[in-house]
Amino acid sequence: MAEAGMVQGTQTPPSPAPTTGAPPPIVVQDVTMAYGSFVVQRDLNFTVEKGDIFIIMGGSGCGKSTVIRALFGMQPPAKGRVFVNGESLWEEDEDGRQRVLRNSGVVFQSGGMWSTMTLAENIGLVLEAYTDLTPAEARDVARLKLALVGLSGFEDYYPSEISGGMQRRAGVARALSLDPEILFLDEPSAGLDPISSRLLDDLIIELRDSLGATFVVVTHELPSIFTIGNNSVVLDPATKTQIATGDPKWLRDHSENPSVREFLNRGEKG
Amino acid sequence: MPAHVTTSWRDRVEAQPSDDGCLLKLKGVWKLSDGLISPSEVLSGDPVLKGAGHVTVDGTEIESWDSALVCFLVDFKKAGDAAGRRIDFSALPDGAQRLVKLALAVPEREGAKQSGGTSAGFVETLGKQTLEAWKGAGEMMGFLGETVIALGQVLRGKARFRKSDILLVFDECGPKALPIVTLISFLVGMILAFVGLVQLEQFGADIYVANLVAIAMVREMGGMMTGIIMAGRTGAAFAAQLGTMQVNDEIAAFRTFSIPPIGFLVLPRMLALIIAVPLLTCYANVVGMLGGSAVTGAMSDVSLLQYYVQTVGSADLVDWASGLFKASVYGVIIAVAGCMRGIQSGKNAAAVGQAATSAVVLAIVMIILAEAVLTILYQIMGI
Repeated sequence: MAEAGMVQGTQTPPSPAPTTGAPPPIVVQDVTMAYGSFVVQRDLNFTVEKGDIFIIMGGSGCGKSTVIRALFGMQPPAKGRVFVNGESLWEEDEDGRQRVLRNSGVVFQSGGMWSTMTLAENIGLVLEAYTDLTPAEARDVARLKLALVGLSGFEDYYPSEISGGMQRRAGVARALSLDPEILFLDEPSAGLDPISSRLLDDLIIELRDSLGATFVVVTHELPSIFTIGNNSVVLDPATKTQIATGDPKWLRDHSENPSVREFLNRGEKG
Repeated sequence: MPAHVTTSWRDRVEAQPSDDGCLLKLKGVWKLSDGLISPSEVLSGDPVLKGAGHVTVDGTEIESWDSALVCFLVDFKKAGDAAGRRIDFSALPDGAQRLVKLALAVPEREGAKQSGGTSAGFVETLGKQTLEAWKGAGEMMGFLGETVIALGQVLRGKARFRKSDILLVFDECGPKALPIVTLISFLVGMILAFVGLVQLEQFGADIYVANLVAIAMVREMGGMMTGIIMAGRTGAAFAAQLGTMQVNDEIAAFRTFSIPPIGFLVLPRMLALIIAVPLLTCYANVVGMLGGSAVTGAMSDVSLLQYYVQTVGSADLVDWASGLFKASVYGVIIAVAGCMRGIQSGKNAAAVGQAATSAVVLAIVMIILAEAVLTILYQIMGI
């Protein structure tokens, strides 16, 4: 567990198995991430509630991407448990993990689009694998998903033929293909111009509001953090643990931890 | 199209006449797992809906929905707009309304690519390929020119590259290639001896199979087989390495610092291969002769000592030198083909694969061509 004094503006991590109502989409309990004996982050505890746009933030090299990979089943934690919709992800076998994560989508840092397929084929492949849709129907759905991210008419373009920002949005479209309840985005705004970045932020908010989906976003782009995030965890590269959880705007103005205020005020001692 | 898609829309869509046109009631479950409903079928199949100028879509009886509903609504709206109908979505679930708005917010890109477009005709394809080949030849000459300049800088001691890279590449393409070279050369020697024996036995000239194997291996086959193995093994690796560097902008980074990538990346590989391929060829020649002796020993009365003596007397220094010179040329060809295709690679995974394939094909074709040209030249020079 994180030391009580280090966690500012945060509530106690809730129990992963509440007695009433649906369990929270994600609960991280005493998680330590490590590469062999090299600890990246230790004693992480936070909860992502339904409909949250939850930001995992922190300075470069603090292990944000490593932590999110434990949430979408790509890297096991060295210690601790991750609950997805109440089920302990890393206590399942490979098939069980796939079942637990069936209702989630991932957008990788570089988009991760399959370069030998067109955008419609990228989305169609997923649809055809998990539904009974015919190729023509899958293409119709792919067209809708691309329209949702503002890429109407780009169905037959290859990822290499569109810009980085478009690739990122196409990645979101592919992640949306099976109407997931949870979306994980690893540095979605990295390398994007301010306008593309803003468009992506608006898209995330719109999708949350219309689909009721839950978003977990790794980023250190402050404009994005304050625009989209309603809850967050701040990871510290120095102490290798979380130093705050809560609404980013609240943390910026009220956190008692100077490192948190400094990070959220672009290096100015708040 | 599955049966459930075409037959079930009447269960989920019901049109009723209303004061200002038509009320379209959507009911039940609208999920991707139940298939899509085609708006054009609904529009043309329902008599009430057909003539209505104003359509209010009511979703109060929808039990659950996902993208299947949004897909229907977006296409329905587009079809309705095209037919000049007014479509009212205000009685739909709030989330669905927002998603439809989002999907229609950005107009479709004009002049978008169409899938399954008309394929190019024979003349167009021929023309395109000719232009591509011409462009490729020009690029190859440019690359060769840069390489020759870089080699000249090596000779003048002015080339900028890390000497340790030569050793690294040499280790990768020399000693580590020995097992595959051993296997192939031994088999080639055996095949030569077998074919030779069958013919020479008819004249009682079994002993000359040693000459046949030795001359064939030393002058032609040893170098050529080593070259082909190295083209597949090392040339492809060079193209993939440099292609991946192209994808990661590592080659662009060289250029931003005005460091010629040819010097840093191509020269070490080329110099390593110029040394490694002749050495491997020497080894392949000896192993091929051993393969030949194994077959000869097993299939004829020629003893191993006789075979050895005959071999030593057959291939002289000129034969060895001519074979090894060819091998050096193959080394240059493999390095140039691999590095050139790698540096010319596009910036995606498929392009790197194409670069590796193209490097191997180009190297093998050039090796065979060089073999033919050099053999004719040797003939003219009396070597």
